[in-house]
Amino acid sequence: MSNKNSELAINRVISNSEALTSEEVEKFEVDGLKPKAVVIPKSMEEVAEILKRANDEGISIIPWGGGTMMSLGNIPKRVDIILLLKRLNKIIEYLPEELVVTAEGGIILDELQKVLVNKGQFLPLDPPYSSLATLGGVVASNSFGPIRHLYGGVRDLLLGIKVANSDGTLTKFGGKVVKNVAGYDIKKLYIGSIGTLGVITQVTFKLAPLPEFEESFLAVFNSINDFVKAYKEVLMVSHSSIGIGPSAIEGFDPNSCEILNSLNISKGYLLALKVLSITKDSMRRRISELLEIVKKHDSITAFSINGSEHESLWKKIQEYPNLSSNKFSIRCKISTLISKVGDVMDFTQKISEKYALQYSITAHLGLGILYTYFNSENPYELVKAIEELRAYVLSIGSASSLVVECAPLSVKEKVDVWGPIRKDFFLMKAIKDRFDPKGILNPGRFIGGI
Amino acid sequence: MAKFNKLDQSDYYKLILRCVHCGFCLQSCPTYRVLGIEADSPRGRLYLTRAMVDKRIDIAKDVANHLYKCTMCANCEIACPSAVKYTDIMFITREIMAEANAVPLGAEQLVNTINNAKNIFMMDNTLRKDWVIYTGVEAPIKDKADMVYFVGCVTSYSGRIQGVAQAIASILNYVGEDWTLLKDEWCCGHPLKLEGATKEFKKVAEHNVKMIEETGATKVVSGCPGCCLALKKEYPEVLGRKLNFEVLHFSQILDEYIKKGKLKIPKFESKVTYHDPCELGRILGIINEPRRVIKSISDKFVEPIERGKEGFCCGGGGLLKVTDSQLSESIANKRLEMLIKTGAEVIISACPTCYQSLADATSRKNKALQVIDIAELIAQRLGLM
Amino acid sequence: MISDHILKELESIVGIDRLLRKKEELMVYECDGQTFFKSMPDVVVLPTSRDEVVNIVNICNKYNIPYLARGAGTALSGSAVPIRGGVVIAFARMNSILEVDFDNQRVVVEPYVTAPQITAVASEKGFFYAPDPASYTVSSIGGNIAHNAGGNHCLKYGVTTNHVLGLEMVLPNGDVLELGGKALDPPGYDLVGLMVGSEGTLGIVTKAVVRILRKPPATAVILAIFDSLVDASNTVSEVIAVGKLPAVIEFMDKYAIKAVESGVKACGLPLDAEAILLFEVDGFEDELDVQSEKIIEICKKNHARSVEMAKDPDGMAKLMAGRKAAFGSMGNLAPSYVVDDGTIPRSKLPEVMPIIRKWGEEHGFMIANVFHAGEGNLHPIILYDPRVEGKEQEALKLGLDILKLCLDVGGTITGEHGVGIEKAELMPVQYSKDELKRMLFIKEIFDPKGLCNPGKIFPEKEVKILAS
Ligand code: SF4
Ligand code: SF4
Repeated sequence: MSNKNSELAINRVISNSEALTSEEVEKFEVDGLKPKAVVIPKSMEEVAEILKRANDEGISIIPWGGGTMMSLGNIPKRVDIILLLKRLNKIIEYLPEELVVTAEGGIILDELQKVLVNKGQFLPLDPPYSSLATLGGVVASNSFGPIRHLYGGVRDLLLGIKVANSDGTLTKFGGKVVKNVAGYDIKKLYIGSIGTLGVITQVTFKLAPLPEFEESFLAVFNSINDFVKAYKEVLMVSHSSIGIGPSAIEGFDPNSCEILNSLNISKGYLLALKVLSITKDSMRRRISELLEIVKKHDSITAFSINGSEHESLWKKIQEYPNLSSNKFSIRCKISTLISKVGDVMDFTQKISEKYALQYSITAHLGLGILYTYFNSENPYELVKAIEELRAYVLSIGSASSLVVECAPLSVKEKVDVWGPIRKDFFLMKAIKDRFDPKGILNPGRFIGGI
Repeated sequence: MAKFNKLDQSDYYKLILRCVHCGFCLQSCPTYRVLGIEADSPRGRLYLTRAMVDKRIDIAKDVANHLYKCTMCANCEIACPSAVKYTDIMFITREIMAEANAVPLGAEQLVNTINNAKNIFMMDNTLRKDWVIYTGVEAPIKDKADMVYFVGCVTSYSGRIQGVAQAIASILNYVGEDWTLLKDEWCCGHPLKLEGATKEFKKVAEHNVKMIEETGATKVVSGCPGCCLALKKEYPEVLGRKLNFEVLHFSQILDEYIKKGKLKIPKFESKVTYHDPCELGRILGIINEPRRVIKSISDKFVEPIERGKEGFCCGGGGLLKVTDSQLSESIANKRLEMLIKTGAEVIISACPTCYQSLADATSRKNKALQVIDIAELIAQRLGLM
Repeated sequence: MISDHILKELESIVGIDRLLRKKEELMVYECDGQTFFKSMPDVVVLPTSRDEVVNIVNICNKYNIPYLARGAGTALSGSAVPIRGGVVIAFARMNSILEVDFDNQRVVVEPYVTAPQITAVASEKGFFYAPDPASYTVSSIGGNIAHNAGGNHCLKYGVTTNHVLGLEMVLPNGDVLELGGKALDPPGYDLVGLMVGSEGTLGIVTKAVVRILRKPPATAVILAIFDSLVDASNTVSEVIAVGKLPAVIEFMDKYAIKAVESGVKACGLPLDAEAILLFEVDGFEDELDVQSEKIIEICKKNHARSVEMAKDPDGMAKLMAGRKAAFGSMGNLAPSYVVDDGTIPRSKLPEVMPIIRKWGEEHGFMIANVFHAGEGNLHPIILYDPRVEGKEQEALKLGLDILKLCLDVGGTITGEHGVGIEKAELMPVQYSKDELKRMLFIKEIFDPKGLCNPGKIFPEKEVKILAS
């Protein structure tokens, strides 16, 4: 399509919708690519309508929630229209006695939480940038935070989804009841699909009651060995049942520990737990049990904190990617075996030293998920480090993977952020082809060039 | 065949209908656990039975092959939430099958054998008491006695098991019971009942009851749960009257003796476990007595999984040994594995058939494990054998 | 019918002992946990390894023979009924626990392993496998995966899909795929999530990686008796709203009580009560009382006639005895029943329960209700006598009407039993054409020849229309 033609086509697609002015459009980009237009639909039907026209015209669409995870994905093949979903921000149904909420996809997570907290409930998802992230975006990027340990991730909490498809239809999968096995569980496909199958316009989530008592338990270790032994033992005795908690079991290497540096914690390997309890007494008991374990493994300090101190610490932990973003240009998500987290940490340190990278590591210990952050003047070294780290992670097997969640263009040009495809890829490709036959949704950004 | 006419209106059909096909009984069934074949599961057998009543399928040997591949262990009844009386149904079904001559060959032959020889081994029934000679134990045959020891075919004739008879006789002597063997003991007939040969079973019952009643005994004791079941429950049913004697398994007698202080038994040091015979534990409900006896001499008693009311069959029940000996062995192997898992060095049983099945399984496995009957163990500890 | 040379080929894979072809052998595979929908397979094979499964699927493919995988056959919707005949691949021989990985809190199993078997090995170090559908003592993990089975405890611990992280499967084209694994979040679309609950129509699972959880240290059981259906229903909503999430909330209405009390398992429940609620709370021992108090308070506020609590095993068993016996006791009221499985928003219980009661009375059926109230997962049990002409059909129809009612109040036609054959005709009621189309896309992608458990989930007519 010539520039002129494509401009006309885009105009036809957005003609009935509110669009940003060209100056405002300037502020948007995906991996350095500027969109030709940014539209702000006001309703789900409008989203569907835009998709239909875009499909007819062969114009690409990039859905945009809070924009907090736009770094995720390979460099798009094309960026024509950005679909800004912030107007789809209504709560559609919230009945506290259902412990379920249905809201439009563009609602900001923290805004929703404010409403829920009033009723003593919350959506147990604590991804970074929660003050900007939208619910739809959280689903599309499969975002989560430390408390996934107890409450599960999006795939465990999402009950229903409504999606605008590239053929202009709106389809709903799942529902608002907690048990539903009617037909295929199509909603699962949208989780973490970064909008390549459809635009998420509405979601229904299972909620949880706010915990009664919550405290932080922190322990610092000098050696990675002690840290690993301690966290393994803590995991062995920790319950993953609502009400018994802990809701989060996090690990930090000395560098990330330093960045967090709230309580002047001595620098070292930090083990941080969000401990839950129903009574005050039992909290004391739990903390003292934890103390015993970490002491056995030679922690250099160990203590608990509560109240606002506790809250601000976990806010920092949740926002760690944000907090550290000016220091590191690369963020990798590594999913592996719970028992291998220590090894991956160790390997990351070695590789960073080898290539003289700045780095930090955080880990959801009970999930087997780590984030490694890197920085370097030299993109070649970064690429080499990522590749070596990925090879190491893949060698662990058991579906271990490394996804580069955030990277400058210079790196993205050389690395597939999703890593190698597996044997099941042809099914994924076929699904994409059936759900979005013209490939207008986020073309090229997902795994295997989907 | 007369029975099958009008069957769909009968109580029998009602019993069958109670099965709602939920399948909750599957994992309790030893034959299904080994074969994984639906027709060899309780649900499958009930389904086939119903299909025969509904005339969807013929009453034929092919069906019988599955129906008789059941050890009649009754474990499915424990698992069934709908309280389906599986064994009641199957006894009737087997009667019908027998009437229609649709019985597996092995079962048919066994009936003939018992009819002719009065024992299950086609042996001369006058040699039934030869175990007394072989073992050298004192075993009286009196006209009158307080107690009859009903030995049973397996114990009487199988070399290895004769030790059980020796043990029981010597303990009875040791405590000074006034007891006797029957002058002419016939097979208890339980295998006939299992085959569906009700008429023949009745004949045997009449004979044995007459023999017992002639002695004037008030108690009949046996080391064989199958015999106990026949004497205690099946005889009164088939004869349609109450019997004037009490039937006890020898483990109950032992329990009684120990309670009354009649036996002072030296402790046994090896780690032991106990296998519940289906007919003894589940069907007759004798679960605690043998355990009390064992615990009185052992501080190292370990329970296996699937025990007591939920005891897993040794594979020797029903007529499986004659209808499918290979399956019977596989079940025994499976049970043996569970017993081995307890870490015990000695497996105690209280049934000659279980004894045999498990001992055979042990030797197949080349395991240096001892299988012993509860009576033998006690007699040995007392230095009586 | 399958010709002899194909049978020979199958036999060459599994051997004569593991191939069933006689009428009496096949007949028992004509239905699953239910008996309304029946259809006999042409042959049943019992593989013992994944490679055998691959070979069997390849043969079916080569000769265009429909096939399906069967676990324990306890499903209630007909999903294991070989509606077009063909090959039933019975998994009963693939029942090994392959790996218990405590360090990573995962267990790897073959499809015929049962939940209690996993829990038995996991409990060595204090872990358990959470999903516990009513059939869990016998149903296979493969079947649980196919139906995304729920259970008593899913209010707190989630359903099967939350606990299955990896699958090895044989695709209808014969490919062996590893989906997911012990690690979370493999990049790409969540195909494990898609497979779970697909009722065996997308391929055959030959291995599963499941998550095990630490066993809660202590439990308590509360039994509350109510004189009104509505009071009991309101109690459920309120307990959930205050944030005291019990592990279990079970509901029994007066007919369910009657069924229990008129049988061998009678346990002294009051026959004049309208409903009972059973709660199970778990947690640390020193916290159980705090949790229970609140629940008891809510029960009382909603006019519970009596509330009892137990923390010791015997006491708990006593309180749970009625619930445990409920399903099995239905035979005391009538020789047969249809059990449905709609889920409704929990807050709709006070509205829906009396309607079901009324409909039953209008049609002359006793409808007993025993169900997972915490999740709003209804199990209306419509009792009837199959010997009365037409009653079975009428009961089935009333069941479908109740499911439509569930849809009307914002629920779903099946919470845990699956669509199978039984509810296929309601799929177009619950889903739009566009939605069904997308499901059928998936079916087509995975199983282009439509040989893998055909005739399930989607009504024939719809499939044809949408395909054209
Ligand atoms: S009696 Fe025993 S062998 Fe026979 S069906 Fe029942 S459980 Fe199986
Ligand atoms: S016998 Fe009992 S447990 Fe077995 S299928 Fe029938 S009703 Fe279910």
